[in-house]
Amino acid sequence: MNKLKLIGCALSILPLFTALHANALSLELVELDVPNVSIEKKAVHFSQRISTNEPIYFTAKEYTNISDEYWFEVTGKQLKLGIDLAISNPGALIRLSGKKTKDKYSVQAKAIDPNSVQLFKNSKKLSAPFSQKVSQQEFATANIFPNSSAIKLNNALGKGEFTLKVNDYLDDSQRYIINVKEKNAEHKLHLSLAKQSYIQGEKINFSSQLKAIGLNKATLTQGKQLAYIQIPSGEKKQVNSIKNGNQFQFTMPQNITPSKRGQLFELHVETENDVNGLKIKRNAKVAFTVAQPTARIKEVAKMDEALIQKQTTPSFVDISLQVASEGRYEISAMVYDSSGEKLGVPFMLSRSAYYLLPGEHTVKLQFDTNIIKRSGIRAPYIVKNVRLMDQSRMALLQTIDLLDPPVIGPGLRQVKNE
Amino acid sequence: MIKNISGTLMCCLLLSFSAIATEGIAFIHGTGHQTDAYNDYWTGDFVNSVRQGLPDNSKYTVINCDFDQYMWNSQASGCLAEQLTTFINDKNITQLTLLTHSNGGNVVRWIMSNPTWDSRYPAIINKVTKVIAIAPSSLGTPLADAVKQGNSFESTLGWLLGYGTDAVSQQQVSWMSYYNQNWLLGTRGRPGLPSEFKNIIGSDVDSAIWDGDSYCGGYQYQVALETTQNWLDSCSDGFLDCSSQRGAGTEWFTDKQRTNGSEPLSHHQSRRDCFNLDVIIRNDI
Repeated sequence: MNKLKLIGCALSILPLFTALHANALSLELVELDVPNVSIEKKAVHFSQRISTNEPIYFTAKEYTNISDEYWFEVTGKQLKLGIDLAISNPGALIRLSGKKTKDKYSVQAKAIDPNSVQLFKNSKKLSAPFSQKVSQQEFATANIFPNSSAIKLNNALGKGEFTLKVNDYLDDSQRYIINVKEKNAEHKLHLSLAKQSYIQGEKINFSSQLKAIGLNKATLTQGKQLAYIQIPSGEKKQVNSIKNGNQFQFTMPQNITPSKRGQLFELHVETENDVNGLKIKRNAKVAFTVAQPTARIKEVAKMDEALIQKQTTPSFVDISLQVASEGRYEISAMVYDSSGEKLGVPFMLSRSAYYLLPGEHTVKLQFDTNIIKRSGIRAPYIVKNVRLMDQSRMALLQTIDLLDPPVIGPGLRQVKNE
Repeated sequence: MIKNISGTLMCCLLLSFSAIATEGIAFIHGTGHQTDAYNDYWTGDFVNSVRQGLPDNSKYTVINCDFDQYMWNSQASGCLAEQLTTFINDKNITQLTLLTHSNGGNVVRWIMSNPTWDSRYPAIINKVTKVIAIAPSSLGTPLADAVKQGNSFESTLGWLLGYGTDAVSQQQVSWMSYYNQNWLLGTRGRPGLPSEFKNIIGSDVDSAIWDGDSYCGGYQYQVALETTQNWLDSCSDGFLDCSSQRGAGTEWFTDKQRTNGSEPLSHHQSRRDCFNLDVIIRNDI
């Protein structure tokens, strides 16, 4: 960075480059139809002042879901005959929710009256097994969990395996979701995704571990595990994952796209473990997205040398794009001080969006010169964290991170992706 | 003498500035498709009390949009942008306060975080002086996840003013994590929002049948919200963990710090004139 201080250019932008997001360069771009939704056609530019001492991160973050619950689907017939419940923590809450198919003529499953629910242990019916009952009417009054009821097990029942029966008329074929919530349970399933945003074809890594709080978060032996992808329509897709140490890896099947833009896929994991004779069941899920590579950044800051020499406050930087799919694209970047006390601190976020047809384009990422002037920060400036978003399909296509580049021109460096 | 002149000049400048400025407030509801949010979501008592804090209390609007949709949908943020633009233009608003409840905070954050999405957005953002976000679902809620459990192919489960809608999907915890990291500003590690976004946090639910405070806003809601706390942290308003409400922007206050009798505000009570909430907000705008 010391080199930059010596450049001495009064007013210019130093775009620094680059490590590309997720195979963005090596992947073939795809040509997709324009989504049938309202999309802005006008070019729009916006800059905002950034005033924070808090660090800002542009790299993808790991996401972990910690689960103390499980759920499964049963029929009315099964509920009348009795279903097995594995309880690993005293005082579990059990929610019973009637389902309804999307068929407009289908009848919603009859809500279960908590007074009709019985609990058995070793085939023996338990008296007063519940400390709390919540009826369908109580949930529905506040529009929370309609067609659902809930019961809370008495703490005195402890842990173990129980049988739950509904002593009421239920249609054999109607379907219900049983959700066993074990708040403050000792055993929790940790499901982690390395990041939540992927490009089509990219490998997806996840870890799934049952951990015990009482054992200093010790990881327990891997029991049975079922993993699948749920696409936004609700359809399940089995994944063929490869185990690599504590990690599992899979690739999203091709040609699966959400029906609505912005919808996410979900990785679901269902586990069953035996810990010292205690059966522990857990479900967990994590959302993620897989973007289609519809465009890419080819070049940043291909600026006219004459313009740089004018010594005016920079008002834009050129960015070259290769666009394969018609749509609206946003380019954005953070502008940083290149020297002094605020070195490495961004002071402006700038974005420009354009509606583009397939082909090669050079577009301007416009800056707000008033923000630059008011900042009191002297040139040269650095442009970093360049992002390309496909707004039409709500996809993050590319993030360009900082490397230590050579500098060309009077305080300006030309960057190429090719 | 010079001091006197400059003081007078400053005073005149301030007076002329305040004479030019036209302050307004927009009430922005949470999840649900509202057609009469004034009566059905906020109640007139709340709206009419809060707007007394404006220099001209006629400069207010109550938004009615379809927030059962994803926040980026034209019926959600597009509708909000249209109604705000109309309000700003019709009333010549120059300084706009947005008062949001629950998921309304996310829809507002969408607009403020994605200024290039829609050519109407920059003009709105430039007028917004602050957002008062009451119990915003900034990091989502485990209740949304619970509603969506076992949701393969069909769903009948629902929640507060939204029955398994797109807005419910969006407010699942890991979904909001993705949107916060990629599409929204204001959460930890992300650039800040272009205007102040300050939160009011609801921290508990009183449902004791003998406690009169449980009845503010309707007792039946309190019972249900008490039950939902099984899915939530010890600090929650029955619908959102406090951590979610604090997830974006800055905390203004947690209910008990300022409410009458240090009463908590459940998720339902925080859009009603309960425990002086309306007056606290009125005095701030």
